[in-house]
Amino acid sequence: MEQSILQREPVRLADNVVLPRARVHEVLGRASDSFAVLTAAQTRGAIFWIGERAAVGTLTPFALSDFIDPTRIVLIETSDRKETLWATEQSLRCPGAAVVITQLHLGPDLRESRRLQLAAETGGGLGLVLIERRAQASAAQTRWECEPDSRADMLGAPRLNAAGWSWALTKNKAGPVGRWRVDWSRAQNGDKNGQKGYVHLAAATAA
Amino acid sequence: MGKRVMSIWLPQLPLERRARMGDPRLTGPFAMTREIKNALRLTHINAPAREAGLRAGQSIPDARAICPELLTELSDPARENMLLRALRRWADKLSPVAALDAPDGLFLDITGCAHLMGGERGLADYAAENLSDMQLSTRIGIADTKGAAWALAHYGRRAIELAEPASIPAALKVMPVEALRLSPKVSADLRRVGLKTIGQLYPIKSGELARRYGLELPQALSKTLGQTTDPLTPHAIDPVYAARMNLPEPIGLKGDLETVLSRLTESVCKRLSADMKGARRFTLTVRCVDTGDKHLTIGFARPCFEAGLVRQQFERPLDDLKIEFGADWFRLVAEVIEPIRERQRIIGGEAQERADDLAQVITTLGNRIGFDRVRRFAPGDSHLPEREFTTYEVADQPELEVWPNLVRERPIRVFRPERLSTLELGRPPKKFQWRREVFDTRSALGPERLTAEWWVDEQDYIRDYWVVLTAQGSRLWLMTNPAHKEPNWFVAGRFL
Repeated sequence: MEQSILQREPVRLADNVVLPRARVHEVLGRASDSFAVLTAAQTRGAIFWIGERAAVGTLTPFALSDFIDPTRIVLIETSDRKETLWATEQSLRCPGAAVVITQLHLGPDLRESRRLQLAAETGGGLGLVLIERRAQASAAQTRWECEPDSRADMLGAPRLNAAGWSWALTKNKAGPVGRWRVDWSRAQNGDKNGQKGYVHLAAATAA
Repeated sequence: MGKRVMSIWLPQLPLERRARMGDPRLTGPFAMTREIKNALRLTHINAPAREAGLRAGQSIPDARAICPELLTELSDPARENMLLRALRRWADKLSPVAALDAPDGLFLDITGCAHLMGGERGLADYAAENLSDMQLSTRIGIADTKGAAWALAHYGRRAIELAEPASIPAALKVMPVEALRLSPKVSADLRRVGLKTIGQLYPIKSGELARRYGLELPQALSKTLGQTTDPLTPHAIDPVYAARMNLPEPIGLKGDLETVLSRLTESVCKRLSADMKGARRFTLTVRCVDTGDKHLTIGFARPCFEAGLVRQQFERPLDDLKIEFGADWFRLVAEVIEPIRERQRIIGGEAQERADDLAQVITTLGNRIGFDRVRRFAPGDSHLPEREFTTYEVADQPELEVWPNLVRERPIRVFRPERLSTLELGRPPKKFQWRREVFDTRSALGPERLTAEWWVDEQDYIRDYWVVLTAQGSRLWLMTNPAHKEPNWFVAGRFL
C-alpha cells in the first residue's frame, strides 16, 4: 500500500519537468504563487492553502479561477508558525488532499521538513512550501526559485491576460537541476478546447 | 366514547420556582414582578404579602408604600418556560398526549387513561399529589373540551373540578364570562351590558353575538361547549441526546477520565445512530470538586454519531484540562442535531472515502484553530475588488457555487492598499519604493476607474487602478484617489 502511494503518477509540468507526489517541495522567490498555482492546476482534488492571516488573507479567487476551480481550495488561517506547521502536517496526512500549499516566512529546518515529508508519504499528496524570506537546510525533495519576468506587448504596454516567470530548480534529490522560462497567456472567450489557458515552458540556459 | 380533557393550572409557578430553588426571602412578604404598561408590577405574591394587603397588579412603588418590607424579584419567563416544559415531560406518565398551555398550564388528553389510576378523580388526585410533592400548587379541571376544562381549573370553586360527560352547559352556567378566555375588551363589553355569566349567553343566538362582539365570542362559546372541535395538539419535545455520570468518589487520572468519556459517548452516540441523527457539536461538562464546572466543546465539519471520532476529538481538550482534586460529575450533550443521510458503500468508491477523509481533517483543524479560520471562497456580488468575493466557513456550507468568468484579469493578491513612496513623479510614478524594494515603471495600463455602488454616497470613493509593469518583471496593481489634490499612490495588489 505504502509502495503504491509513492509510485503514483508524478505531477507533470512539462515533458521533462515532473514533481513526484508524496513529497514536499520548497518554492522561493517573488513569483512563488505562480509555481503553486500552475502545479495545483495539474492535479485533481482538494487544495489546502495554509498560512498566517497576512499570507492567506490576500489571496483572490478570481485570479485563481483562471487555473483552478476556487471551490477546490480550503483556506486555513493560522496564528503562528508552529500552528502553520502543525496544520500542514495534518493536511498532508489526509489522503483527500491533492495539494497542500503552505506559506512560511522562514523555511522549515531539517527536523520540521522531515516530519512534513513523512506526513506526505502517509497521505500521498503533493506538499508545496512557499518561503518568503530564506530557506534552511531541509529534507525537501526539490527547491525552486521563481522570479517574475513579465514582458511588455508589442506596443510597450503591460500585457493583461499574460505573464512570464523564470523558474530555477536549484536543488533536486533525484534528477538534474535546471532553469526554465515560463510564459502563460489567459484563455480568451471562445477558446476552442475550453482550456484554461496556455502555458509554455522553455528551457533556459542550464544553471 | 367522548373525549376527556384535563387542564392543569399552576397559578403560582414563578413564585414556587423560587421556593424550589430555596430562596430564603420567601419567608417574608415577597412578590414576583414584570414590566406591564411601563411599570414594574407585581404578578405573583406569597401569603405574607397578601396578608399585608398587597394585590397582584400593583406597581412596586404602590406596594412598597403599603408594605415597606416587601422584597421582589423580576420574573424570568425563559426559565419558567423551561420548568413548564420539564413538567410537560413529567405529564407523559399521566397521558401520552400532553400539550403546553403557556405560560403556566398544561393540557392532557386523558381519554381512556383514567381507569389506570382508579377513575378521573383518582387521576386528578394523583397528579395534584405529585405536583405538591414538587412544591407546586395546582388547580385541575376535567371536562369534555379544552375550554371547559380550562374554565373549571381557573374559575372552579375547588382545587379539583370535574364535569361529568355531556354536562358542560350545566357546569359552566354560573361561571363568569372571563372563563371563556376572551380578550379583555370583549369580556368588558359583555359585562357592561350585564352579561356576567356564561349561562346568560346560552339563550342568545350566535349570529347576534357575532354581529355585536365579533366572531371571537361565538367561536369560543361553541368550542367550549363542544359544538365545534377544538383539538389538542401535543407538542413533541425535541429529544435531548445527553448522558450523565455521577461518581461516588472524585477521579482525576487520565485513564479514568477516558473511561468515563467513552461510556458517555457510547451511550449518546448509540441513541443518535438509532434515530439516524448526528450532532455537529458535543459539550462535555466536568464538575471539579473544588473549582466548579468546566465545559469542553468540540465541533464537527459534518454531523457525527461515531463514538470513536468524538473521543478522538476530545483527546486534546481533555489533555489541557486541569483537575486538581478530581471531578465527580460528568455530562455529555450532543448539540446542533441534524439528520444523517445513509449512504451506500460503493465498492471502489474512492471519491466518497476521500470526502470522508477531508471532513475529518477539517474537523481536526477546526477544533484546534477554530472553525472560523477554515474557510472557502464564494463569489460576492459587488464590483469592488475587496468585495468581489467572500469566504465562508467550510463547515457551514457544502454547497458548491458556480464561479463567474471574469473578462478582465484580476490580481492574485489584493492587499489593503499600502502607501508607496514615490521616488520619481509620474502618473503612475516612474520610480517608487514599496516593501523595501525599488521598482521602475516600464509601462502602465489604465486607469480603470471604480466608484462605489450607486447607493453609497461618497465622493472620496472614486479610485483609479493602474496595471504597472516594472522593469523588475512583476506586474503590480497601483491605486490612486483622483479626488485628492496631491497625488497619493498605493499598491493595491499584485498580479500573478
